[in-house]
Amino acid sequence: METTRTYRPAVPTARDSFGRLLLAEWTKLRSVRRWVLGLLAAAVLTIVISLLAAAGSGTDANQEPDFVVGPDGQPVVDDFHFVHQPLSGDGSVTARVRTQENSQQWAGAGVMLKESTVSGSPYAAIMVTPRHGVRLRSNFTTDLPGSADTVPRWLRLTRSGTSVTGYESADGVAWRKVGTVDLHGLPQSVEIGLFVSSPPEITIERQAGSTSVGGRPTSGTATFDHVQVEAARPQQPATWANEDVGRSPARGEATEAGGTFTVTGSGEIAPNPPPDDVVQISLFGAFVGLMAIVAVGVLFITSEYKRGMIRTTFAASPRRGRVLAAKAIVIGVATFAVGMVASVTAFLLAQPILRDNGFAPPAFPRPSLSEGPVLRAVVGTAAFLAVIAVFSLGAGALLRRSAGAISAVIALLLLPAIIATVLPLSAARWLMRVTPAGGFAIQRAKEPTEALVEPWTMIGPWTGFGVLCAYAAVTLALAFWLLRRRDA
Amino acid sequence: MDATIETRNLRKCYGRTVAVDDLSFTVTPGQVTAFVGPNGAGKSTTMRMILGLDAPDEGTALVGGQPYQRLRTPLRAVGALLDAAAVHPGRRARDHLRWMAHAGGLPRRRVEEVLELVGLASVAGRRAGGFSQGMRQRLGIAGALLGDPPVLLFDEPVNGLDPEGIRWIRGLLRSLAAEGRAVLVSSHLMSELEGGADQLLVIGRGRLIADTSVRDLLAAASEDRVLLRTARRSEAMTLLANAGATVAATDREALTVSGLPAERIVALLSERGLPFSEVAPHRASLEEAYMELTRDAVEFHTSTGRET
Repeated sequence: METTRTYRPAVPTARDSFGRLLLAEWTKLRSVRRWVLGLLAAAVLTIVISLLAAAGSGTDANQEPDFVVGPDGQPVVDDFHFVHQPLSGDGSVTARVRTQENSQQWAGAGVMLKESTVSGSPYAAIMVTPRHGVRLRSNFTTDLPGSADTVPRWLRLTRSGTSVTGYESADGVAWRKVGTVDLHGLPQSVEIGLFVSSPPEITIERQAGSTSVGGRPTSGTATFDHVQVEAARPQQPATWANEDVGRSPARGEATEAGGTFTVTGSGEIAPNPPPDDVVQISLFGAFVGLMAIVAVGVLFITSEYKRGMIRTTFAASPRRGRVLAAKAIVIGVATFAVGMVASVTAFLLAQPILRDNGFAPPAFPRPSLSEGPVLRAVVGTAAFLAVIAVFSLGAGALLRRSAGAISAVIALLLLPAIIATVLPLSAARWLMRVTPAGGFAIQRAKEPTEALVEPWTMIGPWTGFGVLCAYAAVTLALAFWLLRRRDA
Repeated sequence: MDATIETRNLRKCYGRTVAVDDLSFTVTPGQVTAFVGPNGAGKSTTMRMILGLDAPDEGTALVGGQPYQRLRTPLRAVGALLDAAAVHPGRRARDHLRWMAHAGGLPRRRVEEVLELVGLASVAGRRAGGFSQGMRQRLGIAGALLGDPPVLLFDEPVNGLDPEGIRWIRGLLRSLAAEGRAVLVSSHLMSELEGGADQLLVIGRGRLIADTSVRDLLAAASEDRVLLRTARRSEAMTLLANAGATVAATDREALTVSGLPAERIVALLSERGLPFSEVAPHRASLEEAYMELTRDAVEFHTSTGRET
């Protein structure tokens, strides 16, 4: 047998880098027209469905308000019983809360400084609660925790300019500072005194597809002694007045005997936004857009298995884990980019429609992309779609079959959300915490609520998004492991 | 790196089916090695194991002395066409080669070069879904040549080609081997590779049946065989068999005799006075030689006709 010289390639030495692999996967993604159209369709669907959802939504929250407007223009509830006297300039109020009835876990008994007795006006208050210790609160948004102690407890508020400092003490001798709040624009003359609040017990009933929220009023009584108001500048001796501020669901009253005040009050001092979330409504289309994303994410790998092209891929890059990582990064980043365009566009276009349909201030303050929760929801929607794309890719690599993987991912994303609407609250919440459907929570800019039918509104945005990310990570890890063990 | 493919005691089972069994061979550079066997004999499985795609149950496969997975820039070391259909139908031919070039760390100009080489330059902008079988084979070969590798594997490259395409492939294989590359090309039809291969690896039921040069095989198959034409066939058969020859009747008046040289046959027949019209050395075709080799090893008879 004649031996010949060994062939020497004329091509320069190849470079082996992860960047080349990313470029290869990006070339694959952009060169199949259907996939590009699929990603664009996801964006268009997200925008169009969001606009349809906005056009189909309406509210009368501003026509028949069940709220008053707080200092920042936000909807609040401000109902309690107030025993007060005027204070001009700097000064302080001190009292010992001797007893407090456990009428509701968030019932409050303490001292308050309020601009006026008008419901919704600026205030600062330090209070004891039956279950949540001492709290210093102001203007419906600030809530600083003090000690975990309950009654009897000494409380004090001192005003200096527009800042108000809260103190607590066990014995009226050793005082501990809880915090200082600033009541911007506080006038010279304010009302100062004792208050008792007791929020209603909320009952939520869920029946197939509908949620009804009911509130049973509660009424709580507390006793105060060692009550003392001090003014920095001498002023006329004041007398105590008392009244229900706002629309207390039950009548309050106050009596004084021998320096001991017995005050009964009902109602709540808190932000009171309607549960509807204009940001989420304006991003609703992602619900439909994600289906196109799932299809592209799955096909990005199953199409290679279907035709045996995966062998060409792995022959070119024998380290299969790197291929999967490159695919995940490419599909994730591409989807995130498309998702950002879709979510920002949908948000901006849907807001005016929603405002025309009643989602307007004061019940619904105008959301702005510069607010943290709004930005979180808008960027989060793009991230949500990107993680779904990676999850789909992992499922495709695991199952190797397009139809099976697409159905599995869509079922995991949508079925729990549908099933949870007919489940009892606790079961629904649990389902949202263990399935990727909870990921929809990232689209909300408001606090979790139990008042809405959509089950993912019950859990926090990061909780839901975290669950989805965990699913994507576990699926990808499993795929990674199997990819190295199975024949291509 | 040596341009060789080497397998040692390769074994691969799929469930209870033994696809490849104790397969050892070496493919050397500078010649076309035909990897021949009936459908289902284990050719494709062997090629996948060489490329690190399927893990052997036993044994090793080395390319240039290394396991494939160890190659950091494999497209430069080994080019392979496994399945011409392994192209996304929605992707343009040029884009298909581009992603491969990126993955292999190869310069972009190689894409245009190999498109030119396989004659697809004019249709490079068309989607592969619209390609004929022959065009897809050419695209697959272009992919294999992308890294200008010293080792090449082609699995059934002739499948579905027209005669002109078959001629082109034979010429291409010859010229690639002449440049000093190791070329392993599989086929289930020996005739497809006739005149194109130097070395033969014959495989049946996953086992190596023959590892021989084409020249030796033809010589062995033709050797000692004599075609005899006579009107008195049965008498001639008895005579020659008694003289120690193996005789087979191939026609009403024809016999194939092996084990005796032609001169001795003529002498024996003349001694007995048996007339004959022709005595000639038998010349076997490659196909015939191959059929003889694989007669016992054909796993599936044509009636079952299973493809793998």
